[in-house]
Amino acid sequence: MESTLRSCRRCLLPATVPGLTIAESGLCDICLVTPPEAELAQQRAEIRHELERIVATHRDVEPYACVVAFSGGKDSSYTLKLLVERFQLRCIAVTIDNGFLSKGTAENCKAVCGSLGVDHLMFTPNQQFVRKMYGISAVQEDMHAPAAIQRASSICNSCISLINTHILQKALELGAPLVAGGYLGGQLPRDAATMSIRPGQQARPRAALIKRFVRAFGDAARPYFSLGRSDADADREITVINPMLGFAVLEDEILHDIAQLGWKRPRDTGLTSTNCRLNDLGVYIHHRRHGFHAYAFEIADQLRHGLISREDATRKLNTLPEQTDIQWLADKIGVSTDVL
Amino acid sequence: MAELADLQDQIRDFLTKQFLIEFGKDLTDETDLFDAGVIDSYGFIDLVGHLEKTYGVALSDDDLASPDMSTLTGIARMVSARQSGS
Ligand SMILES: [Zn+2]
Repeated sequence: MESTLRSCRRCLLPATVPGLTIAESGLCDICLVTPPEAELAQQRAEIRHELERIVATHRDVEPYACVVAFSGGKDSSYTLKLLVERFQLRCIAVTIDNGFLSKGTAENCKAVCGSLGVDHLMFTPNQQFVRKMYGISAVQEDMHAPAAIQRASSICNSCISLINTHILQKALELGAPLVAGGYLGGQLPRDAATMSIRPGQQARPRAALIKRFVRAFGDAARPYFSLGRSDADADREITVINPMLGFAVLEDEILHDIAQLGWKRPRDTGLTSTNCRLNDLGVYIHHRRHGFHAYAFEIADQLRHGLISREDATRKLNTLPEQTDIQWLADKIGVSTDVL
Repeated sequence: MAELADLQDQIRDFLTKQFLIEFGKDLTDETDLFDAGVIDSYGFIDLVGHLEKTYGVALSDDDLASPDMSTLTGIARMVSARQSGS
């Protein structure tokens, strides 16, 4: 029997999520198949073990073993700390400036990289292109796979594609065998904790992405989403690691630990981002269009793993961006608020 | 080992639920699911992980780059072939 509850009593995923059923017990179908905590802990231990194994073979790589997608937000700051301090990897942190970085993000990047002794690159893609990409992503409904609505807003999904591609391009260019991201559970499949990929192996989804983005954003999109300019690049093996999936760290612990590195919480981002002001517009549109919060899956995963308190989760899920901020942001990317 | 038709039905169910799509409307068993914007790079990881876990098959780089991996019919054919060890 289906429940009449509006959201799962354990993870708070709402019944408005397409394809989700909430059983009479009050649990959603994801919670029903989530193993007990002891087994989750075992899975995380296996991920850490696998991370150790991968990292051990790359410790001596110069100049960089690992290119880190470093947004300057809390999770990627913590990820960088893990990679440097616990895994002892030679990292280069790469930040993409999308034109909407919060005030304080540049300082946070400097403080964290400075404290950890890590080289840092800031890449600023052509802002005309980026704004066009955001503007179209905001209004065009079929920019991403239908299931992508579970991971992030359409604006964020476009941005994440650009960032992930840039990080892989950098790894190819610098000859780094590893790339790392600060993604959490719910933002990507758990199988994605460690993935060995060759750009050539992902050629099919990649080619489809380029085709769709060039159609939507014009030819200027191609260099931002293409990989592997040579056959040699296509055969290079790169291992993607998302270390956070192997650790159960409370949000408060993350904030505490990175504060020690000099990281300060920005005040201009809304509740679900710690580095990007545009995030709120994505959240707003996603909620209007799909009837649930763009971070619902990430927060649900954190609740199942006991990494966030119910109060904090509820507060994040129930706080939607202010109309005045939305108008300002929409204006910046050339989107009329009438169509939102 | 499942019969090919059963296997295809099971994989159809997985794709329908996991990728929030419906076969029979705009999508057929022969539709290129990458071109149709159904499976992106994350979805591909999900799909491959599911196939390897559920059917105990190991898919090589060449398998993953094969045109078969882009349609429902092709995916079922690939899994069936790897199950029988060919
Ligand atoms: Zn649930």
